[in-house]
Amino acid sequence: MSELITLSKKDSRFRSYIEGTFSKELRALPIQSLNVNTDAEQVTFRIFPVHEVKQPLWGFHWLQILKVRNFLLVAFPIFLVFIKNSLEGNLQDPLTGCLSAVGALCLMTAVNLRNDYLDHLSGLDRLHPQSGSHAIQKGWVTAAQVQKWSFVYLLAGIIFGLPSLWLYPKIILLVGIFALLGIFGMTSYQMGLKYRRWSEWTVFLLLGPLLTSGMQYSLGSQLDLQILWMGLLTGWLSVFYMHLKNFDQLMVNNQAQFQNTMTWLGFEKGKKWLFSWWLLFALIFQAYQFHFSSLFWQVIFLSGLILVTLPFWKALRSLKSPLGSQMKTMNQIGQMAILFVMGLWILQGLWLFWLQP
Amino acid sequence: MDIRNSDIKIFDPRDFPAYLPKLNTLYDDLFSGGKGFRAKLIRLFAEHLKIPNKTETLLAQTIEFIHNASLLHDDLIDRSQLRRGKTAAWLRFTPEYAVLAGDYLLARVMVNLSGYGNIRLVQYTAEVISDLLEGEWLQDYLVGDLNIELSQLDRVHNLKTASLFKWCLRAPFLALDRYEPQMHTLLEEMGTLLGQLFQRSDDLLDYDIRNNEGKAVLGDLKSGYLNSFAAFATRGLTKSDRLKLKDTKTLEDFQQLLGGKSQFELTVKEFDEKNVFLIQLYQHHLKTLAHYLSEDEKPLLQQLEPLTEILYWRRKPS
Repeated sequence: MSELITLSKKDSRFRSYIEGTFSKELRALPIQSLNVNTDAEQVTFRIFPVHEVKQPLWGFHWLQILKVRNFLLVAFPIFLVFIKNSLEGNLQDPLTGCLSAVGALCLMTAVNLRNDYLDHLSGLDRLHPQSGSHAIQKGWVTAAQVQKWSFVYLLAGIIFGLPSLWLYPKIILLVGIFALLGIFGMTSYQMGLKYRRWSEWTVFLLLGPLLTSGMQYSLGSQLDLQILWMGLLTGWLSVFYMHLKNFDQLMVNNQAQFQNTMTWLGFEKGKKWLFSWWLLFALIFQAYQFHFSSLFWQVIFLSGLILVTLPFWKALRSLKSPLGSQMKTMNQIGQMAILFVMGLWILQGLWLFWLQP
Repeated sequence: MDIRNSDIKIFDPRDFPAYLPKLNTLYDDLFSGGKGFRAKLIRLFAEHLKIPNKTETLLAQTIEFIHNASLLHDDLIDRSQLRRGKTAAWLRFTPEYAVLAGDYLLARVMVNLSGYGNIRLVQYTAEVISDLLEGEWLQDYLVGDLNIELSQLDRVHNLKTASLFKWCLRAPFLALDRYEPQMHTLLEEMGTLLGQLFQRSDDLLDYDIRNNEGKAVLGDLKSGYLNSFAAFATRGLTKSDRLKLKDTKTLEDFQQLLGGKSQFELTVKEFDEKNVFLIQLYQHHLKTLAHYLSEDEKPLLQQLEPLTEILYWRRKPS
C-alpha cells in the first residue's frame, strides 16, 4: 500500500526523501514536482515498502544503471586506437593501454552516475522523463546509492589511469584537460552539461580527439595525423548521437526551457542541421578512408554510407511535427546509421588484423 | 447550481451587436445546449471566495467564450458534423463564418478582460488561448498516426483540454489579486489532472465505456485518430495488427484486435487503475490547497472533491 507526501524544499526532511536515506524499509518516489529547481520547489512523493519495488533481472538492472549503451561511445574510439597501433606493430605497452581503457570506461560511468544523481536532485529527471537511466525514478536504487557508486567509479578510473600517468607524463596534460572539462560540465552548469548550448563541443573533445590522443600516449606511442582524424570522426559521431536525442526531445526541452542547439534552431532548421551534421560526417569519413584505406574499403564504405544516408534523409523529410511516432522512427534510423558505420569500421579493423602477416 | 443561457452569453451589450444578425444566430445556436460546466466551476469558486457578482459573471463568460470559440475551430478542423446534437456551425454557416465567429469570441474576451483592468489575468488568459491553439496545431499532426503513445497525447491534452480547467481554478484567485506562486502552481497541476481525467473519460466514450450520453462509437478511430484509450490499449500490438486499425469498423473488430472482449475489458480496467492514481493525486493536492485558504474558504474543498467523480466516472457524486 502506498501513500503520498508533499514536501517543500525548505522542509528539513526534503533532502533525506529526495536522496532516499529517510528510511531503510521504505522508498520515496517523486511523482510530481512543482516549481522545479527553485527555492519554492515542492515534491510529491509516493511512499512504499522497498520489497514492493519491481526489480528487473539483476544483470539488466546494472546494465541500465551503468548505461552500458553509452559505453560504446568510449569503447569504440579505444578499439580503433588499439587496432591501428596493432596493425602498425606499434603496441609498445599494451598492459598500460588496457588499464587506461578500463580507467576511461570507469570515468565515463562515474560521470553518467553523477549526472543522474544531480538530475534527480535538481528535479530535471521529473521534468524530462526520458533522461537518465530511470533506475532512481523506478526505485531500483536510491539517489544516495547512485552518488556513492559514482565516487567508487571515479576512484577506480583514477587508479586504473595511474600507471599511464606515471609512465607517460605527457598524458598528464591530456588527462588534466579531460578531467577538468568533465568536472566543469558536471558541476558548473546549473542544469548540467547536456542542457547547455554549445556543450556539444565539450562532448566532441571528450569522446573525440582527447580520448584517442590520450589512448595513443598511454600505449606508449606518439601522436599522429590518423589518431587526430579518428578523434575528429568519433567525436563528430558522438555529437551526432547527442543532436539526435536532443532533436527527438525538442518539444519537451522547449517547454521546459532547456537550452541546446536544437531548441535554439527549432524544428525545421533542426532537421536541416541534423542532416547536414550527418552528411558532413559521411564526407569526412569518406575522405579518411580515401586517405588511409584501400580502394576496396573505400567502395564498401561509400556504398554503406549511401545505404544508411538515404533512409535517414527520407525519415527526416517525412517528419511533420516534433510530436508523434515519426520522430521515434527517425531517431531509430539515425541510431542504426551510427551503429552501422561503427560496425563496418570495426569489421574493417578486424579484417585487416586477420589478414596481417 | 443553475446557469442561464443569457448569463453565459452576454457580458457587454457590445459583445454581440444587433447589426450582425448572422453572428447572433450562430451564437444562439452554439451557446444553447451546452452544460456550462466550466462556468459552474467558476461560480463554485466565486461563492466561496466571495468574488463580486460582476467579476464572477465576467469570469464565467470568459471561460465559456473561450471554450465555445475552441469548439467552433475544433469542429472545423476535425470536420465534425454535429455539435451538441445539432449541425456544426461550419456546416450550417460555412467554414469562413465559423472561423470568424471563433476569432470574434476570443477578441471579445480580450476586450472585456482588459476593461476589468487586471493585467495578470489578461496575460494568463492570453497564454491559455495560445496553449489551446498550440494544442490544436499539434493534434492535427497526430491524425493518421497509429503508433502514437499515451505520453505524447497527454502533452496535447495538457495544452488543449487541461488549459481551460487550469484557467477555471486559477483565474478566480488572480481576479482577487491573490498571486501566491506556490498556490498557483498547485492549482495549475490540479487543473492538469482534471483536464487529463476529463479527456481520458471522453476518449473512453468512443469505445462505449460509460457512454450514457449516447456518443457515436469509434468516431475518433474512424477519422484516423488514436485517442488516449486507444493508444493505451494498442501499446503492445504488432506492426501488422496496428495496420489493421485502419480497417476497424465496429467495436467488435477493435476488441478482436486486442484479443477478444474479455481482454478488452481487462484493458479498460487497467486504464481505469492508471487514472485512479491521478484521482488519488488530485485528492492529495486538495489537502495541500487547504493551507492556502482561510477558514471561511475551506468549504470550497468539499465542493471540489467530487469533481473527479463527475469528470472521470461520469456519475453524480453520492
